[in-house]
Amino acid sequence: MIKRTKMPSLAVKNLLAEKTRLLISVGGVALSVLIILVIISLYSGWKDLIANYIRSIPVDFWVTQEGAADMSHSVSILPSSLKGTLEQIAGVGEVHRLVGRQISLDVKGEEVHLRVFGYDTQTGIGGPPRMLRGKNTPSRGEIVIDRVFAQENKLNVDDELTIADRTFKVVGISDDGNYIFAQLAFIPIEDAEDLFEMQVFTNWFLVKAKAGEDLASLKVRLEDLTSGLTVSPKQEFLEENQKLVTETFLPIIGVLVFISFLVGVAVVGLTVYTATIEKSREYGVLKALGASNSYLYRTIIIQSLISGVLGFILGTALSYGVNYVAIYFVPEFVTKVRIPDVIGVFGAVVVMSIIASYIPIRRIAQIDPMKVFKS
Amino acid sequence: MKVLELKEISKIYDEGKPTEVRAVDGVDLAVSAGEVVLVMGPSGSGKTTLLSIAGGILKPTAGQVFWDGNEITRLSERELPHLRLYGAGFIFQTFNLLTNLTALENVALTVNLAGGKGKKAQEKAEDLLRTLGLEKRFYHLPRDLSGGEKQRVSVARALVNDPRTILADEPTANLDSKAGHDVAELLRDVAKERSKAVVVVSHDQRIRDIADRVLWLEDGKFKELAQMATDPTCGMKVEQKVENPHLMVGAETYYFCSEGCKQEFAGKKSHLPQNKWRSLKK
Repeated sequence: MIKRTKMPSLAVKNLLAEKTRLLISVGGVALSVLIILVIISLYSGWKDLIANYIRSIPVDFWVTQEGAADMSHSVSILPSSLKGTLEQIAGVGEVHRLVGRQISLDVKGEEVHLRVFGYDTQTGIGGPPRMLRGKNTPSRGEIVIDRVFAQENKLNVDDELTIADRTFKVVGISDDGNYIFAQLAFIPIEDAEDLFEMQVFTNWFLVKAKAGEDLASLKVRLEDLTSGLTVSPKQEFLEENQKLVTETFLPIIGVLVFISFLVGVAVVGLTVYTATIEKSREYGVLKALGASNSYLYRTIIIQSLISGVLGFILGTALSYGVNYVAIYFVPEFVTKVRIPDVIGVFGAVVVMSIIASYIPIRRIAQIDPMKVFKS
Repeated sequence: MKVLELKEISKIYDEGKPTEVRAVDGVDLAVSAGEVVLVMGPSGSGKTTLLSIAGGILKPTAGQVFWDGNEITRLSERELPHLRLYGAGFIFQTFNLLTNLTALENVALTVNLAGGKGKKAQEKAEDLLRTLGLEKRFYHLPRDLSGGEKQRVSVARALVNDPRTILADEPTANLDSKAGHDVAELLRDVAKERSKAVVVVSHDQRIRDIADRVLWLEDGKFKELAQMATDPTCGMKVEQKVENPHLMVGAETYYFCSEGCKQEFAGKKSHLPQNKWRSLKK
């Protein structure tokens, strides 16, 4: 009795027959996918980082000095007395002051950076986004610091920090406050007023509308209040602040992703090309027998796609692994692998494989079937 | 009706250039079903070019090729490959089996190329390989087959889509005596029992024994075989021309394909009387 098995295609057979070459090809794509996915997930992660704090504050509008809606690149100084005026506007439910600034300080002999926010500890609005351990509401002379800052500087609850000659006791560790170049810390607003000499000034007013209020018309009313104000709905304010990442890093990321893409194309292209050269006589035989060009092209594209897809699977798995492990060693390595990004990278791999097939296909097109008659 | 017919076929490479070569020059050939035609000739005489033109791989510069009365020379490069799958089977000197496919896959692939699918294609390939005595070699890769077995797989591949014409290029050149003899007989059986028109390009005497007709191609033209002599050293057919290397031994003239063969023959002259030798080397 003859065993009858499903016969794999020529493309699969040729690919599997040269395991080392397949490994190089898959490895090349995997490396490319790994780099692309890590860069993109780092970008997404950082973009998210910037947004986390703003997103965590349950308000509808951020009111700043005109043109100072970007917390990283501008300083907003407003009179604290504006709070009462804002509260008078129809439709306004709550108004909260937020005082904050990026400062440098010395920790264990090293200069480090903190973005310190003073908030109303009675309401908690503007406070730590997510507590990991310790007290979530600092009292006077106390501070809640971010996890990354604590980890990098080997600080923990009950340690002390000296900021501008004032000593703060660390009472809590919070998360989601990593601003890449500096981390967030939270103190009572009274301490912030003293620290930054901001008793009569406020950096930002956080406005919450009354329930059911039309936000668009409230925005107009807030803007009409006085000139020199920028009233940003929360999402708009969030996006404005994300520009630190989107505008600074996007072009760099774009270049890196493009280079990685080219590396992938080159590796797959080269391995498929050498395989094609090596088998050019066999492709000539197929041509002589009567195989159509489309069949031969399909064979090449399938080989390229299989290498690409295997590389994608390996690269994606590796990128999850790298992201998982790296954060333990590099706290700033905050990544976020988004499914749409993974799907996008898969699309890029398919494009990569098809582009990589182009030169081998051209080579096949040039093969003269007559050569098969030569021994 | 002739299965294969070539009318006034010419093939000129690099036409109009200083490197112009007239490989085939106004050749006519007609082959019937069940007939084995052997084409012989010196190296570079245009045999392979003629075979390629007959098989629809190469377009002639002039002339017409007919398969079963249908002209294929009019067809486009796009149409010809598909036609080849059904119209002509090729057998090559170096077998040209696909190295990563088993014997069965090599044959079945040709069925697949012609549109045959899955189980049916496999069964068709199995049946043919079984007929050719290869039932125990289905799952062997070419590297695990002997030369004779490879050529039988190659014959199976040529036959599997049931083409009317089989074109073989030196099919026994890489085979030992026994395998060569078997393949020669197989080609005869293919012609006689399967009613194929078989055209073989070869220098092999074993093929000559099974051929219905022997043609001599030289300088792109068929010549009368009566004017040909056999090189006593290598057995190759050579034209009886005074320009060719030759030796007169008494009343007899020997013709050679090359000076090498002539020298080799002359080196063995010791068994003949010394005064019998007279070189007429040009």
